[in-house]
Amino acid sequence: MSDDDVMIGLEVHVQLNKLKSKMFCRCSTKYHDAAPNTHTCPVCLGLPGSLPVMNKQAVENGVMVGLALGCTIEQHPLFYRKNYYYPDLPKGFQITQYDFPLATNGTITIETEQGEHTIRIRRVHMEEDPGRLAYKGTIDRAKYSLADYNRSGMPLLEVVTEPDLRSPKEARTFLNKLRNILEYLDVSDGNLDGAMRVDSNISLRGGHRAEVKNISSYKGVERALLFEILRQKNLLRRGGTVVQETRHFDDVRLITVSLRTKEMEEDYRYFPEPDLVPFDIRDWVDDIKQTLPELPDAKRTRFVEQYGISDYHAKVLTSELALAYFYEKVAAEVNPVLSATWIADVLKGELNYRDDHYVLLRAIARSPDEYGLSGLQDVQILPDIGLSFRPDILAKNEQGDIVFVEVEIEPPDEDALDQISRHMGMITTKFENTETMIIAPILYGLLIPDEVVEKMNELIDSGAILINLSDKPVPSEKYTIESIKPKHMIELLQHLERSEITDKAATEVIRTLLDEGGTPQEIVKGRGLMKVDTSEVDTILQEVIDENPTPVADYQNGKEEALNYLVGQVMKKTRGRADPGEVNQLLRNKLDTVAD
Amino acid sequence: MISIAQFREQVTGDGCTEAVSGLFDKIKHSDLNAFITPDCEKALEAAKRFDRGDTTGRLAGIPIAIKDAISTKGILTTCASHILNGYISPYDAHVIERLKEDGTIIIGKTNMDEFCMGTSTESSHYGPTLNPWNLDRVPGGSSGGSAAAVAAGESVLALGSDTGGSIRCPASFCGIVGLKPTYGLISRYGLISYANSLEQIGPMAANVEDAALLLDVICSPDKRDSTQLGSDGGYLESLKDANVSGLRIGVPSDYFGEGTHPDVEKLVWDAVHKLEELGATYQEVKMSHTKYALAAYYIIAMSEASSNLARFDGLRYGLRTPTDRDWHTTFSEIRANGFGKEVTRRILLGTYALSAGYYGRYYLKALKLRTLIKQDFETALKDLDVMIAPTMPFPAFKLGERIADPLSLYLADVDTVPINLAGVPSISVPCGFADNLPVGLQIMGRHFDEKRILQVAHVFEQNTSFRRSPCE
Repeated sequence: MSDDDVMIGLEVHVQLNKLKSKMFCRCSTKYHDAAPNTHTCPVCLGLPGSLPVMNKQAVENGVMVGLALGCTIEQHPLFYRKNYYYPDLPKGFQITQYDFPLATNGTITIETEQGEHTIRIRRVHMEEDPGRLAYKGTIDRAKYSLADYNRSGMPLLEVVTEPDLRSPKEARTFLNKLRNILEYLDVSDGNLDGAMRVDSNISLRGGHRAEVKNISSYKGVERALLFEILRQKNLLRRGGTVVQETRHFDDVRLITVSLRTKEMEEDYRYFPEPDLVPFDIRDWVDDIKQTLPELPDAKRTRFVEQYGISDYHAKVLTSELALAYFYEKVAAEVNPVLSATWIADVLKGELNYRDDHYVLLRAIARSPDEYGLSGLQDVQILPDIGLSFRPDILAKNEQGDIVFVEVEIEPPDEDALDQISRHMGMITTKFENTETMIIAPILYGLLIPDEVVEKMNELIDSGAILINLSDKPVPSEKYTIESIKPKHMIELLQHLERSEITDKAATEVIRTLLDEGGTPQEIVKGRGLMKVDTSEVDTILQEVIDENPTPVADYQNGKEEALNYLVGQVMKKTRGRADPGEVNQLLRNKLDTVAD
Repeated sequence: MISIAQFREQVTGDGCTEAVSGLFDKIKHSDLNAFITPDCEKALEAAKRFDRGDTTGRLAGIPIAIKDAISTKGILTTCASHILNGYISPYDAHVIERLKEDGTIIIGKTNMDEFCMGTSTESSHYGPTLNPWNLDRVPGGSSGGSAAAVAAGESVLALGSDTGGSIRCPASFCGIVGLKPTYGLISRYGLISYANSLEQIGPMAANVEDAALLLDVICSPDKRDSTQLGSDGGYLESLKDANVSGLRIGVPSDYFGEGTHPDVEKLVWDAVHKLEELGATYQEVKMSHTKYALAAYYIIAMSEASSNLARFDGLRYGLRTPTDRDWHTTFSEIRANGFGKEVTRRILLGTYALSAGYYGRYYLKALKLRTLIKQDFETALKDLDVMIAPTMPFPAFKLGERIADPLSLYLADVDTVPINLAGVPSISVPCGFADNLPVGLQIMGRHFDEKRILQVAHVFEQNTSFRRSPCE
């Protein structure tokens, strides 16, 4: 069965969290760090007698997104009520759109291994977010649930695709592209908790489709889809049939479970919301068109044309708005092609490395004191509903003891790494069975293998809280392009342009700038990274030749490898401050002359 | 029945506190059950403030009773339903804010049909309100407590709300003045929704001038209700030198249908002729879609109600079962225990009407009829200034007479619901007596033309003597 048989459609819920106020009231959207139910008012609590008032800016944001996706904008959009009961829905209905959604018939083009692929956007509509339920402990074991309405009424945009995606990977690529566009439009901060949530429809050609709900992370999308495709394939292979149903993605066990079948689907009794008046957005649309910023694809094309850089570099540089701004500042002062190489390849690479480890670092940044755990040897914390909430109870084991797995290791130590990996395995198992866990090894400052990072991030995604038990502080800020100043990059690249430092030295300067700060000038000076001058190289060459008669003889007798050894010796003596190619040539000149 | 002028006459020196105390004595010894929650303490405080000269608004020191569907901060707001047991709103409705700013004295919350669903105030969880003209009769509904309180002199003014006649019906049955404003004149912010596309808060008073003044105070624009325009008032002012000479009246024959009490029909025609004497002209008009109004009204109202009342699940406020189980069971139990029979019936019917497969057959069709009924009014009022008809087809009926037969209760709304569907304003003023019970005359006007119908009602009131208190 080839990938062509897989049809995936996505419904992406994007929180318009850059707006100041909620969709239908004036409550602030900045609720993420607030105590439960403190960002509420009669309207978003759905109190008797309260009425919604449309946030015009939210609709404007929606129109921007619609235009950016090439949609047709509805001139008279309508709000509807979607009626259903759930404890997080304070009015017993959600204000959303049904007929006459904000925008229809757009596209997003993504790059795949088979080339460009255009994904059709069926519709973009606006709605309000419900509140959220929190559980003391886990959903299965909690005696009761707690309702937090801070999120209630947050402006949401739902982007619905046609079933045009052909693989879980394409789905992820699509989401990245969408996120990129939203960033350019400055309507949603994708880093905030709950900023993007995805429901998906999956069918194998000819079969019924299953809807998978509750996917709240990018990784989750790929995993949920992979599992669901596998489930359906196995079902078909065994001669079964896929039924039309709604399934829930269990992000702890990483499987999908049936929620309800088609017969049990709720009848939402949609009808137009009488408390909101019909409106005409024709006049706004033209204004919004004028203010629409340059979008990723356009910027990428422009970079190639304007700066003569490769399409690959243009793609990397436009993948984040801040990176694109950074590049343009640098390219104005230094050779644009050189700038592109150093920013897209080297700097971005260093940032990515640090970013991959960031979630982990952030998670262990909490000190034991913060949880009142100091002095305790054995502690377990129930995974809470996410990192934005403080875990507020300590779990106990069956005997009623507080249990803790302590891992003491001195970095960097191969055995220690093994130990962590082993503990990871153990704790993961424990997590799956009891759904409680805590792990608190000191990891910062350690070169952490990618699989460990991956594993720990998974645990964090599942709600585990990791605690830093080390005495070392953990960086409190995320590494981004803002971690480095354009003027420093310009300074550094100018050194390179003038051949004053080697590529290797330049890389070291970038790493030092990120991790320790300072200016390129200081770093180059302080570390003696300035390229050695010709007379000094000459002296060192002579030293190396004098000290290594045998390799010299070998080279002169036609053994080319011997030259590499000699180059290495020179590089060692100059501590990398010489250009290896140059040294190679100089050595040849010298030895070939002597031989004559 | 006490008018604002009469109340002001009573009040001299420290008189307001005394007069308000007097009202509470009356309420305490009353058999009417007009109030669910009298609020003596705060009312007396407000009266003292007035006596000290701290309040200066146009309605300063005037007692007012508030229908219990309107949210009042710090006092119970129950909508006469068990499901809102113990609910105290944390905020004031827009109209309440306005009344407080103006220095009125809110004396309490009045009885009503549960969630405004009724024509007799018999469906209240707190027992029926009685008609001050005859204790065996209903006061009308759903704003029956507000009407009875004003008629019996337990309050000077009252606020009601009118979804399908809920201000005009009890005004008619209790012999007072009640105005249903144009949809969009008064902010609904804080009015607990029954059928939100139909309802308006409106004044209930002893005479037309008092109703006009109360309308002046509550009509300001409010950004929290998107469906409201508001106005800058001037209603009382507009009554000065009001006359009806040259006024063109329409009398819709469709409003004198089967079941109309012959005395009511006669009284309305007498009123038309009286206005004719005073300089108006009249013609009979046909409003051909009136016969569909009741059906369209009930489908729209029940559909909206089924959604509006979904929020009452006991989770955040109101009735709570002693032990919670899983949420569906808990929600179901609370709703089953908390809602009365009529409310349950309307939620079920409304849910049915909005269901997949029935939406087009019922709800959409009702919306189309609504448009046609609105067009009837627009067409008729193009060449006419006002229309006159009975408010209710008959005077107040007996307690228990219709409550067992919901359909006969619904039929009583036949002359009031078309006005809500069209969204036009309408006022009910006393026009005489049938079976020793008051009868109301309904004067309808163009959208936002409240001044005109108030003027006509005022001229009629000034030239007749049907304004009486029950005890006279």
